[in-house]
Amino acid sequence: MKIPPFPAALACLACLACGSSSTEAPPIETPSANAPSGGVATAAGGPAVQLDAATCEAPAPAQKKWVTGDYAKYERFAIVCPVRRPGGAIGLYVLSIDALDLDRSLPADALAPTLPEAALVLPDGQIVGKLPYAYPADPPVTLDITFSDWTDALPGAVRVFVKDPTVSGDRALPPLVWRADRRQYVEEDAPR
Amino acid sequence: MNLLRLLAPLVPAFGRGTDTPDNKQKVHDLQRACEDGFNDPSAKTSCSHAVWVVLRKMKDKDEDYRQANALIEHMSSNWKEVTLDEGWKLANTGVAVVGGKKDAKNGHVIVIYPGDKIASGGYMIQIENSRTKKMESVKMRSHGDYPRCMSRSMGDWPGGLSNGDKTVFDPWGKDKEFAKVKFWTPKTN
Repeated sequence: MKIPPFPAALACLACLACGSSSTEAPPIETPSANAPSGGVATAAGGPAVQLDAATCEAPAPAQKKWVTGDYAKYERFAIVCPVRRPGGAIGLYVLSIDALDLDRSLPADALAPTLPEAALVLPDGQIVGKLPYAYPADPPVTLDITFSDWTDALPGAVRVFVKDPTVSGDRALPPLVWRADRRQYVEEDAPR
Repeated sequence: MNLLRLLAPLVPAFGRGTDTPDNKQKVHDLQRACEDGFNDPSAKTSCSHAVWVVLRKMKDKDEDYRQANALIEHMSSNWKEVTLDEGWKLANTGVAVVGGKKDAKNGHVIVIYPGDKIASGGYMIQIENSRTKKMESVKMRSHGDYPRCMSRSMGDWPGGLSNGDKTVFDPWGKDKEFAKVKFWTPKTN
């Protein structure tokens, strides 16, 4: 499966965020006037939804059991972000650590903590994918995450755009696609 | 036995080959070359020009100019790759060691600046808190001690600008990216 070009709305954001060494912005498309709230029309026609970090919250009591392993060390700063198709049910969550919240709690001279990567989690708690960094921020980088190619409530593709102020610059990562046979999100070109 | 050799195990800044008159001069020359590279007008927004100044002073006055990606390509084929620790020791004997990582558009190159290791980070950065939709000012925390570097950059990332006051880690600022940085030194016959 080939993923359609980066959504237009993110392309505009990418331009604004670019350093001079940043990735070239993808071609700009006009968002569809008919796109549901929170989504833009992709070239393939399905709604692409950018995750809104303002919707992230501390894990609900039933979700606290997800905060294990590397996440447990920073349990106080764990956040869960619901992923839903506009008007649909929640099909996926992003589990992460709020790095800025954590940073404020550390002594001024503490070393940078090694944060666990954000995880893609099904509503039953199964981790089905990892992002390269914590979401929404992993200083000095921040992430934009866009979901698309929905099958019911589950997005078939996850695109990560890294906004990186360092010499590495902003960049779009290879999309993660849902492999039903593995029940995992894997890089688009990963071997089957 | 001179005093420096006696103190070497106690004071890490000593005993890295910088205690012979010849090396002292070479280290001084490398330091001056790094300063010249950092301050050269052509290097104001160009890491590769800054490195080029150093290479013309320390390697070959007729050294060809290469942009970062091309220089990394050239070093990969024609120079000797060294570990960061080996590079640091060489820099402390006055030998030019260039570090770099290719990127799709613009890679980045630096020179290891002679001297002791220092903590990375320590400067303020602006970062968007997308949960609150506000910009926040946070201190770039240290990721550990690293050798110093000379670096110029076309961007405004504070870690990309170093006249020996920041480390080889700072231009990239993330462990995952820094892990891809390699170091080379000219081959000696």
